[in-house]
Amino acid sequence: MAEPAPVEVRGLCKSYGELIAVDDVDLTVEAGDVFGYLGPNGAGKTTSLRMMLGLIAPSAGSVRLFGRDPQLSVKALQGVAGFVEAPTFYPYLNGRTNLDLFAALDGEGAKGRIREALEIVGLSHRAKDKVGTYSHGMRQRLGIAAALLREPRLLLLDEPATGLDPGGMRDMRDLIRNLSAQGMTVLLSSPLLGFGERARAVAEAQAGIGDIRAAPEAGLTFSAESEEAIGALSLALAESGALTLELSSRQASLEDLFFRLTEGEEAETAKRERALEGAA
Amino acid sequence: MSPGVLTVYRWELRKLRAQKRTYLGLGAAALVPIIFVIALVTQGESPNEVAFGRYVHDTGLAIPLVLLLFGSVWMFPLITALVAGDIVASEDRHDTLKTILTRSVERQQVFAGKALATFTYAILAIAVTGAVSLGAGILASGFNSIVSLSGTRVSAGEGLLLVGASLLVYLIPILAIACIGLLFSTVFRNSAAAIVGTLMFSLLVQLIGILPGLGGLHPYLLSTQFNSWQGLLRTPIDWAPIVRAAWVCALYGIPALIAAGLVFLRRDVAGD
Repeated sequence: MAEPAPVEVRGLCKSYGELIAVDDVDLTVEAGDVFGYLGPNGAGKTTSLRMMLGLIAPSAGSVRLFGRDPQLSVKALQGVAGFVEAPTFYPYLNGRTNLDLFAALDGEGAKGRIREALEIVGLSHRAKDKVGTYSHGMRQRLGIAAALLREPRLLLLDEPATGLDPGGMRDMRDLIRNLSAQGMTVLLSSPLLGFGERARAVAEAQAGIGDIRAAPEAGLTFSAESEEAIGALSLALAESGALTLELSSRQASLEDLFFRLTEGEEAETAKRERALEGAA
Repeated sequence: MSPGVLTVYRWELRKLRAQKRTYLGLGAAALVPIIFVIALVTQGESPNEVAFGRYVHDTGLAIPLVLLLFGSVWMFPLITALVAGDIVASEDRHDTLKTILTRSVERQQVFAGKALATFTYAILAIAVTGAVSLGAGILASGFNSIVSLSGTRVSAGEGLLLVGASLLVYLIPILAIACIGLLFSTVFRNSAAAIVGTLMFSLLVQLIGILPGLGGLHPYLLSTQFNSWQGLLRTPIDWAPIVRAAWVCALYGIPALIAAGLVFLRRDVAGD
């Protein structure tokens, strides 16, 4: 018998009195997918993720993770890790101790994976500092490390690139791509702006990271750098069932420009420093 | 072995050890007896209006007993509330409930671990006050026999035993206060509101106790139970107030604890 899908959401609703936060969401994430859960801010992505993680109870509908209901027991989160909104920690404990705590609550040898997780996200050198002193990007990376302790087969990430500078975004994207390449199933929510970014990643990686799907009713605008990228984008869009109204080539995104400029600056500075050293 | 209540409990203690408020509470529990004894020694007077007050210069054993009486008005409730009111609310402040509830421990295990850690802290605070006040008291006034509330003289050794037992009995209402603090912490999701709320509750109950015409309620008020240990200092020992303290405090504490647990189990862990 085939294993149940990593994520199976049926008719999921959440309302707070009159306010409907999530309205009848159906989605299935198959093993090995990188699933983009897209929508503008306030569309209920975070609320949906909270229901998937068992943090809040749905008003109607169901969530199954590998066939198990996270509302019933935290056992449904076996092999599942992730975070909603920004990952949070105890600011008065250092990074390492926070991970020690989580590993203790995970059991199953999680403690032995702390060092490696810190290395993967590049935080080993700051592990002894209190999390209260971490930047947003470092917390985001520590959040990934905290997720990796659980040796997840399914990662649920809520806007993991939000608030990161372009360099940080690229690191995050590479990290997620690597994890996916190792066979991890990833569901990540993202505001619309990031879609072009991620779709281009697909184009660049020759669609090496699986499906990208968009909420069909949401209109999208995005940018791409080359003809091939546009081709890959339209393909991804078509697969997602979205209606493409217009597709035209435009200049590179501001993000990219910023990144190129700062990278160029670094190279320039290095060149100048070498020249100065030579003179001395 | 899969993690459970004990794991959560151990880490709750670890978190308490890393927070200033824990030391604020325990520091107050240690400092107040020292200040009290210094004041007694330098002023040379006695708080004659309270039980055992007139013996404070005769024996160090009287010091913790007088402090238990003074401390019941607001000091010990405040020290208890400082942590009890914060233990759940601090998770809301740091938005960390979502973090620990998506690991491998069930909500009821997290709650039980937090409740146990709160009780541990409260017990420690009373133990610190007891030990420091005994030590400072014995240094200042000596380790001498004490006169019981019935007027009979009790040897120093037996007196020490009775003081220890009194501290234990004093824990009964303290733990009830801790349960109420835990409830407020869970419901209000805000430390300051929970701490002030717990203290207000404690003061309100005392206020009811002194309102005219409500004398009949007196034996069933939480504040009254703070004096139940005095039954130990009678000859023979009067167990009635202690037994009453046990069930009256259970009536306050257990429903509060159950309510807190249910709220914690059922609540949506959403952002603000």
